[in-house]
Amino acid sequence: MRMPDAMAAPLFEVANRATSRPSIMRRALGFARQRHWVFSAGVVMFAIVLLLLCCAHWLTPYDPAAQSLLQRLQGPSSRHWLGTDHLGRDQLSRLLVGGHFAIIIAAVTLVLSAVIGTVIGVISARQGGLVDEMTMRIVDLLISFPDVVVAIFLIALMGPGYGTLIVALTVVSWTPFARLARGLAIEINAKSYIRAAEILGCSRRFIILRHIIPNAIRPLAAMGFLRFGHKLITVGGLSFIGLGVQPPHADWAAMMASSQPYLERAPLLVICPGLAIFLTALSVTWIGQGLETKRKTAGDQA
Amino acid sequence: MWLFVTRRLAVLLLTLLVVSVFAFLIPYLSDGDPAVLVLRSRVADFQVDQAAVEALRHQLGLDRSLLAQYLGWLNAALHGDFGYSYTSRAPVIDQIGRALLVSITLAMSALGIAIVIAVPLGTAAATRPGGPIDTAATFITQTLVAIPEYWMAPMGILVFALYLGWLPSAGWDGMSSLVLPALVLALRPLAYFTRVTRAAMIDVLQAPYITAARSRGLGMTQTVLRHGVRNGAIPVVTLFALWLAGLLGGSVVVEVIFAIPGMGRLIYEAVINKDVPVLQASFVAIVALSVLINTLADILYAVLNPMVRMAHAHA
Amino acid sequence: MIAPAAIGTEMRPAVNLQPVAAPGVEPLLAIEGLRVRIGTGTRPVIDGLDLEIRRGEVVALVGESGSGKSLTALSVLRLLPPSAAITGGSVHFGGDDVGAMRPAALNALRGGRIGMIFQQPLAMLDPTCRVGDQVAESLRIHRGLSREAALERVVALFREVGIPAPETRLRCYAHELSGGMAQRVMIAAALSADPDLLIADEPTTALDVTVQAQILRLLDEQRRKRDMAVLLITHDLAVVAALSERVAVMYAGRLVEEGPTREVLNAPRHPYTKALIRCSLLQRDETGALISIPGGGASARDIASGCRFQPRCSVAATSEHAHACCSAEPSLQCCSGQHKARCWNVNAAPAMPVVEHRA
Repeated sequence: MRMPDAMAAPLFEVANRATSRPSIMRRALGFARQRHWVFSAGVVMFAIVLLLLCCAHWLTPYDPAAQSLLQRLQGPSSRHWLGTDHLGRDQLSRLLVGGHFAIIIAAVTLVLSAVIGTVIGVISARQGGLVDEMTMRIVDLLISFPDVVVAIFLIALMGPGYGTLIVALTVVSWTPFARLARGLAIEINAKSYIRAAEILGCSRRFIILRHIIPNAIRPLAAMGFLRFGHKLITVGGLSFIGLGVQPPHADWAAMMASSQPYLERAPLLVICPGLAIFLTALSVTWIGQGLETKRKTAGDQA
Repeated sequence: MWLFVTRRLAVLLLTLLVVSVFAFLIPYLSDGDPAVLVLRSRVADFQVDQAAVEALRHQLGLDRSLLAQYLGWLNAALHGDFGYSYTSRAPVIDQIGRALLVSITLAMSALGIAIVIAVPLGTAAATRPGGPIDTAATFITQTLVAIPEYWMAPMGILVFALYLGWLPSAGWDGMSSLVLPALVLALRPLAYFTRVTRAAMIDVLQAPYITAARSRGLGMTQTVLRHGVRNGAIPVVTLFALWLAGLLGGSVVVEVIFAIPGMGRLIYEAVINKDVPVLQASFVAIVALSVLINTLADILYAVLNPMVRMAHAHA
Repeated sequence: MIAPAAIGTEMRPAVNLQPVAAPGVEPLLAIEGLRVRIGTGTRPVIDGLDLEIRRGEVVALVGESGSGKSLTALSVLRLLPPSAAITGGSVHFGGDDVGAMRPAALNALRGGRIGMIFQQPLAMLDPTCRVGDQVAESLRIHRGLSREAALERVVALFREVGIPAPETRLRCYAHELSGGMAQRVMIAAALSADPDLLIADEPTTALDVTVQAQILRLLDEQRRKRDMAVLLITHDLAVVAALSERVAVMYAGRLVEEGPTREVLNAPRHPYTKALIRCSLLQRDETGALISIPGGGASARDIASGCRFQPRCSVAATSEHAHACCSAEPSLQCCSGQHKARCWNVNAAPAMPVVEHRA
């Protein structure tokens, strides 16, 4: 890479724009300092939810599965802070452990979808032509299917189970990632600093590591968090109609479904698990929104 | 233009053909012998009687080759005959028709509510980005997308049906029973429509051709009506189609909660009861409709946006 | 390489049709002390601009990007983007205060009495609307014609501005036109209501060189035929020399030099104008390097005190007024006849010939 200085300087400046960025930690701190309160609030909420779920084992006052028909549908009291359900199980204990399965299923689905989608999207963008056209047609088709319905069909075919659930949800949810990754790949590839880096003779690997990944990670992460909230609600919906998380595991949506008949008598049994799903989904959605908003304003300035 | 429409219709037919193969294969992909399933549905106290199963298999034509069975099935399906439901014994096509009507009514009501609120809200937010309306709208949409409909539905029932007694808590009987489910279903599309309308209108209002139109003496309202709405509508139309297709069947949770006899509930019950003909027919119906709706949206998109029309005509 | 004087004599209109108006005759457009601010808390991007245009006169407004030329044009029509606002001064058109106009009167002014064309003609046309309808819009508003009558008139207009096969072009969309054709459409729209003033904001910057000449010729023909005043915004001095009678040079939101085009281009008084002319002629300095103006694009916001051009000025440091250059801003002072310049050294240094040698 030996060039006359006068020629190399402006090109290198362009190429350097993307490389000479501060470390991830510094950027994270800088991001928090910019007071994206939506983002910060999301992070704090999500951290609390995760902490509670991890420590649920030590926090639960009762065994979440212990039934006591004598203590059915009790209101909140000093012994049972949130009362008991129709089988006399302690509502608070069940609430604390009720997010485990849904969150894990949503997270696994999400990681699978993100990886599959990104790979397909990038390949589609790099291949172009007929491959690209066909892939995007399939994406167009799948993206319009309601994920709950596809999941229901697949459960009908493969029988219920967590494996089925994860496969079923992944089948539909890789599409938005594929579309985004394809767009990003095309967009970033066309950027002048990539051209500049190529002209300067940077290796393909260097370009991918230092330019493409740093520029693509933010939007993909934003999409990931937004979809995570969406997945969580979808998994809950399936559990609600009895096709998702199966008893005896406690699950927020399943708890709501089983308490539905007692809605008037014990509304808290429905309100609390719903609130838990809502707040968890809200926290990740806010994180995603925060990431996305920053991307947009950064784009405006450029 | 016509070339474009023809191309889209060809894609539509091809998709339907692929879908029909999948639908036909449903009983073979799922565990269990179709003949056994049928017998189980007919005879309450069922014990596997091999002779009866064989007889039924012959009667249903299950002993023919797979291709012959498929062609027979496709021929019947094209004539609107998807067989009889294992559970209700009624012709499947009638059930699907009734359920679709219910689901379309529900989806259109929900999306209507969403559009009526979202488009003015998004436009108002776009006229002053960062202003109070925009901040409020952004916050509301960020929150609405995180509300599960199976939480909003019981809350609605609790307040409007049980405490206030204004609306029925479930069922499908006239306008009053449509209100709660439509409102619950409208929340999430409302959020997305608002966001898309806002983004589209911000883009459009900053577009140079708006300044140019104003420099010719068009007032702000006239400019927005003549040059803004059409350009701004393009992304909203696409999203509307996506949601309409998604809500046919995608409203399953709400339909189950409110005991609404729509597509979602039909599929749900067919799965629970392993009602294969209903599953096959609803699968075909849902895919066909969503592809059809998206094709119509594509065509409408091309009508609204001459640039796309040209690109496709030359492609 | 051609000296500006040569450009002037070769391409300039041979006879100045409009004699300089007698003093006391009201100008068509009078901008006084205009101030425009972007955002809040910063110094204005246009700071006390005065400019007058008489009937039938072609005035060029020159300056580098960011000097406030386009914002000046948009201020005249009160079409500034939401982030910018007029914070002072006045604009009078034909004696009416534009700043005090109600929306209806403003809409009658825009397109009716003042036509405007822009830098990016393709972006200025609504992509979803046929171009004929967009031009007809103006006629329907200002002349009250029906759609059919308006479209008929548009055909005539298209023919007038040199659009071939006008009947079929009516039904085209913007993306089906070339840049030059789109600019002709914009000109047709701007001329449709016979305005008294045409504001042309860098009308040829985005076009091919060959097309540029055609569009300039069209503008010149039309303004002569219609006896229309033109405010020509550009950074291209060749265009200035070819079309305008008077030129105003803007730097960092202020006029730095103003006068008859021939005089300003032949004998510029302000160091900025001199440098600008040198740059556009691609002259070389003593060492053989191409001449450029040192320092970055000017914005009025960065200057603390003194002359706004002082940091980039080649004269300031060595002149006898060096102290004044740094401490106080000069006013726009007369140097000869109608030629004015905003420079402490305007009279100290005689109008030095710009073209000293050929490369």
